[in-house]
Amino acid sequence: MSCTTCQHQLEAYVDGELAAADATQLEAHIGICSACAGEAALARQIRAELRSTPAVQCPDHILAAVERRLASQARDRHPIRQPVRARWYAAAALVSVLGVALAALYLRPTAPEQQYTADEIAEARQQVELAFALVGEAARDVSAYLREDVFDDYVFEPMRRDLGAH
Amino acid sequence: MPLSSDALAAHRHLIYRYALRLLGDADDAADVTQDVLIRLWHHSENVPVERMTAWVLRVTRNASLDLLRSRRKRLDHYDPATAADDLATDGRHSPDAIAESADFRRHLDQALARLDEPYRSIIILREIEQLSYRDIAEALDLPLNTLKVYLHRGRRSLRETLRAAIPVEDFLP
Repeated sequence: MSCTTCQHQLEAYVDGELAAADATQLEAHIGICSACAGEAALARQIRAELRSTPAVQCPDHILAAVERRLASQARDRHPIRQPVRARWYAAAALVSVLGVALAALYLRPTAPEQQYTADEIAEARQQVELAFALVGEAARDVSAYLREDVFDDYVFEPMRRDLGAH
Repeated sequence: MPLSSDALAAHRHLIYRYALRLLGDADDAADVTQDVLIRLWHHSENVPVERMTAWVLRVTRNASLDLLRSRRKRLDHYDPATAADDLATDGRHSPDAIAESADFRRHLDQALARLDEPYRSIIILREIEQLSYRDIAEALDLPLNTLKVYLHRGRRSLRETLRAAIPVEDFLP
């Protein structure tokens, strides 16, 4: 075997990927050629040194920064508009309820003979139902906000993470 | 379903080490690691689990090479001091052996930092990280046989560089 062929096949030999017959020829050559023997030793040392490289660890602050950025992105994607809207609904509902109550007080019969028409009663009932619907919607919005943006992000997900870590 | 924080944590070391090797700068490696982890979080639903490692490697490599191109950085300032320190704490090595080994590693790190792509990535991923040929081939978009040829070519190139820096007699058995 020539030195050129030997050097060309050296890496495959070091990896144990050379055919048996070729490996035997190469070993015979490095047995009599000090230059190629030195190259073979160098190839082995490079491979061994690379494979024993100490494993650098990613600093913890990088993962913490990633989690902060993800939380920030989540807040940007789901801006806290629901509570604002909910507050308006709640205020509107409160005004409506107060309005109905005041109207009922102001318009209450002063004499036992005063009677409401069927249309007036139906209108009053509609206003009360609307007020309760607005209060209900506001409550649902606040509930969804608490569940999704507060408990999920700041309570349940950290708990899931902690449980997963153990 | 998005990845858990544990899945991010599992990939972060590989991403950081690969970026650090490619960039030679801890701050740049930290920036790339953050970006890749965030992309992994957002795109994990579209990446099959068995291809996750290749995907992560590909994104890390692209991000690192983009950063290098944009900043015109050279790769010859990787500091191997950490590796030498780790070796020095190993009681099995004599002081002379530690010095020789640290010196050899310094030459090796410099030679690796100067290696062209994709040879450098192949050496890092196969020899240092000891990843599978399949993951590396997919990450670098290379056929398997080409990858093996490039691996041997890359190591031969390291050998030639080191031979020029260190007398061959030092390696005679």
